[in-house]
Amino acid sequence: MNKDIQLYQISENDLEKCLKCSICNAYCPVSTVTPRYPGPKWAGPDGERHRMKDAAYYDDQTMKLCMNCKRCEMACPQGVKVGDIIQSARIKYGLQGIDLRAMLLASTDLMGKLATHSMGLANVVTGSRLGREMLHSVVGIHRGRTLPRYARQTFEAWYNAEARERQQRYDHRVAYFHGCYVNYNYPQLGQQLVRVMNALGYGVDLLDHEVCCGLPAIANGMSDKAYKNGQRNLAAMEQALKTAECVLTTSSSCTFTMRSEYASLLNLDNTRVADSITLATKFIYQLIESGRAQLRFRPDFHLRVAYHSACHMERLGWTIYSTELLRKIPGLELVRLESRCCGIGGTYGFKKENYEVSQAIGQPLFDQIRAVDPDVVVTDCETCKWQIEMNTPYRVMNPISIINNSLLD
Amino acid sequence: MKFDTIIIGGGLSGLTCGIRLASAGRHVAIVSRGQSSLFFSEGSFGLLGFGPDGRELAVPSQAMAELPPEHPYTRMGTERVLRYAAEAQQMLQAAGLEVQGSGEANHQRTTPMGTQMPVWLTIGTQTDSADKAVLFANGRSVQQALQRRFESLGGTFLLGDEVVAPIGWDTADGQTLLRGVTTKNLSQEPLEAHTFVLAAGTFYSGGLMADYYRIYEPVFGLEVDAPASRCEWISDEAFDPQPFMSIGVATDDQWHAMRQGAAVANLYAIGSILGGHDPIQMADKEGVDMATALCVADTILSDDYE
Repeated sequence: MNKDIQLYQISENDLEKCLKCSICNAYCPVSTVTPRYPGPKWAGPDGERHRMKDAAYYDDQTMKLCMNCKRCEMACPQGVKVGDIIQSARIKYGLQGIDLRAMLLASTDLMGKLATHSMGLANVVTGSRLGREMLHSVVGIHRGRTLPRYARQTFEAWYNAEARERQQRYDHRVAYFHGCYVNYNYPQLGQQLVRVMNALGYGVDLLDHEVCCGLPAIANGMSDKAYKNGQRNLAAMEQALKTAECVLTTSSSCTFTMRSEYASLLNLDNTRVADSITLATKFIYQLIESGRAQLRFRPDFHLRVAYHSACHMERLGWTIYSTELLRKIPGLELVRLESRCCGIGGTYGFKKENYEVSQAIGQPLFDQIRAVDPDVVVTDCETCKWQIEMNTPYRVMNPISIINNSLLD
Repeated sequence: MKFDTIIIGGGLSGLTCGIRLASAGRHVAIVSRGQSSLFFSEGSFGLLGFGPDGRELAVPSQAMAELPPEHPYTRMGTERVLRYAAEAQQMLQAAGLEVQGSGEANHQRTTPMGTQMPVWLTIGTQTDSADKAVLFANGRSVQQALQRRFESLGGTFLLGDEVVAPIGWDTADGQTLLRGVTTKNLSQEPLEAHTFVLAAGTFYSGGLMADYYRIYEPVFGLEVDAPASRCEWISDEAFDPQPFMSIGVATDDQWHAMRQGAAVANLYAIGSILGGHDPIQMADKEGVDMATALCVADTILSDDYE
């Protein structure tokens, strides 16, 4: 059989499998709300055919409107990696940006370090009207955005002072990739994860110097930085896996980046660790299901939660783990919100030119949450949390926080 | 993970079957690789618009007795097909869709080309004047309404995931049984079920695939009723009946899929992956999708294995 025939010439990201059916356009959150973005079919498979001939066909202003939610890939009946085609083109042809805003948004760990050491000054600046006006006009972060607050003490500092020693008591071990959000913005989530894992009989180790997963760097035209971060994280995870069963995470986007984007966008070889990077909800669900461990829940727990499935959570296909784990809690009523993008897209919605698009995308979700009127909204993504908390009166929590609150002391 | 039934394919037939099973209290998962051709439906459904001789039908049941033996309706018989048609209509209405028409008689709708054609159901509102542009609810709203209904009944819809392989096959009492499946996203999590339903569609959605040499069913390696020679798959004239439209997986009388010469006792095939009819020539696509889905759901429900 001649392997040179067209049938076997499928290029990267399954470009040739595109039938031009346009279903991806109909499910693109961005092109649904703005005529400025012609949709993933144009930006992806259609545009790629032209760019392969001449890079001049690359249009940075339009390509930047893709928020990398991957809903096009979930809609595609042919399995074309539409989102990867678009993001790969941005890396290959896009302006690798060194503007102030890209640096600020992409350097989540550096910003976190500065902010947590600023003794609350960062929160004063981002929380004040003047500060936000400055960020809007000088940096380009929209004044309407509520900015995440920084913690006084990092998760790592807490862990070293309060938890590290205790972890040695447990025979079973997992490593934890906490991510920037847990370390700098909400260390409580990391603390809750340690408590829940301890209750399951697992000690929690931290990686030897984790850095930001690199997602904001990819999204802000700094793929070199993302590559370096990836190399470092992969080495740290490989080291940790010598003693730990797996590397747990509590953020769906960090997870998706390290399992999938490291290989597909950054050409990093993550094969030795990718399968071991696991969301905590998935790991705990499987532990309980297989009878290897169990949790004891409070008998008096009552909570009505609305679960929002983040885009990257849907792309991982792991929503079912979080929802099924939550359903194991007696007294918890779970309402699944319709699967749709909240509009934030990581750092996308923070940019002043994207603010209106971001808000328009999220509106139907905000409306549904108000109609459901839950006690709390639950999601596995921190940036969805910021977006929903800014636009609705409801508190948004990670499933691990809910598990923690439902545990018997 | 364990379910009562796992349905492969989230299009019209998969959702119809899933809703029927979930309404009866069964624990059901639908694995949907992407959006389906339901999306492109203009919101008008056909039960049987044309007879086998090509004549237009005012009443679908007029020609059901004349259908060839391999047509899915022949296996069910006119009476059951009409009953399922009525139930399908009720299901669409229960999902919140506005539905006009009935299985008793076809009505006319205006095609995008401006011609008239006989249809069973029109979803959404229709203008009464044939010379006006007619706006229909599109297939996307049908898909969303049915998915919402399925999920509200407790069904699990695995969006953007794909069944990659069977876990294995068992043989018991001379019967072949599918043990379970693995999916791309839940790679370390075998999905097990008592029964499986293949509603994966045909070439567009990848339920059937073709290369230069053969037409095949890619997941389970099921038997496909297709001419061996590639020349017989197509007719040269684009608007002639195209033989590939009638190609489908082989099944027994109860819609069990055939594999290596034997029916798989817990794997059913429904919807357009079934062959034996040409939906373009006969305008019977949605009728076959929904009637076979309801028929198989009834068979599954009649087995009270619990």
